[in-house]
Amino acid sequence: MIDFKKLCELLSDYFDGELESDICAEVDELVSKDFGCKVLFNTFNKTIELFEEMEAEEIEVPGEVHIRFHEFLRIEIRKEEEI
Amino acid sequence: MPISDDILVRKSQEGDYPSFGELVKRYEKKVYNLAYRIMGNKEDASDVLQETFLQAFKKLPGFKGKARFSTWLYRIAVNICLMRKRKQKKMKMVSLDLPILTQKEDEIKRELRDDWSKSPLATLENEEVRKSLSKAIDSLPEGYRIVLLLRGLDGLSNEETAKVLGISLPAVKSRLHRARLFLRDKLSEYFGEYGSKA
Repeated sequence: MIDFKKLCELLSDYFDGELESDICAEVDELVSKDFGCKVLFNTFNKTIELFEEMEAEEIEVPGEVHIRFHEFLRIEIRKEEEI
Repeated sequence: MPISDDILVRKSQEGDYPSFGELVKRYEKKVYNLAYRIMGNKEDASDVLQETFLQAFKKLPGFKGKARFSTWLYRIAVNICLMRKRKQKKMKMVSLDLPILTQKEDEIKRELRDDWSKSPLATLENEEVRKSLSKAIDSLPEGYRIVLLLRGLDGLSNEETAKVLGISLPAVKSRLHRARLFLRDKLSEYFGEYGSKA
């Protein structure tokens, strides 16, 4: 039987889709009945959503970094070719 | 249909430099983003980018293809980042095993009164939420932060993250979970879970 403490441990597995369906059903039932569990469940889920949204915001490689990087690689690869 | 990484790797190993160039093109931005998030500045991220691909180029003949090329590449990048951090001595010690302070379950339960997830303020459009989350991520111990960043990178699975870091799958799952709980705690502080700002 899942309680609040157990729920705290299972949340990542639940949202990563790594829990058995019968345990998921137990989690769902607990969350539907217990307000504190529901708040923890919802806020944990929202945290994952916000983090993933932030992570999805890729930074562009700055132009000068890109140019310097490719020049660097070109020189280094040429050195290897000459060996 | 794009050529697979596996084919590009094989051709690169046979000395076809344009194939390696294609791999660089595919992963330059990913590696830069990973390095930037770990190192926290453009200069270091730029150096890590160069060093990662140089090492990848030199080590490519020995790459056996047991892991995905990207997993192998990210491992090189993470190792370079950690070495640089050690050298810079910005931290007393870069450890993957630092403890993390999160609330105890009973403390969380007593204080759960408001469901801030439903608040219209719970969005990254809200600069304060963005700052709170960013600050919380930055304050995570390195070992937890890197697991979190890798999981957010390029759809890396827990298994692949374990391979990148050379740690066990249970360790990855434990760190990921504790890191998420930590971020939730910090966001809850912002939303005044114990007072209701939302």
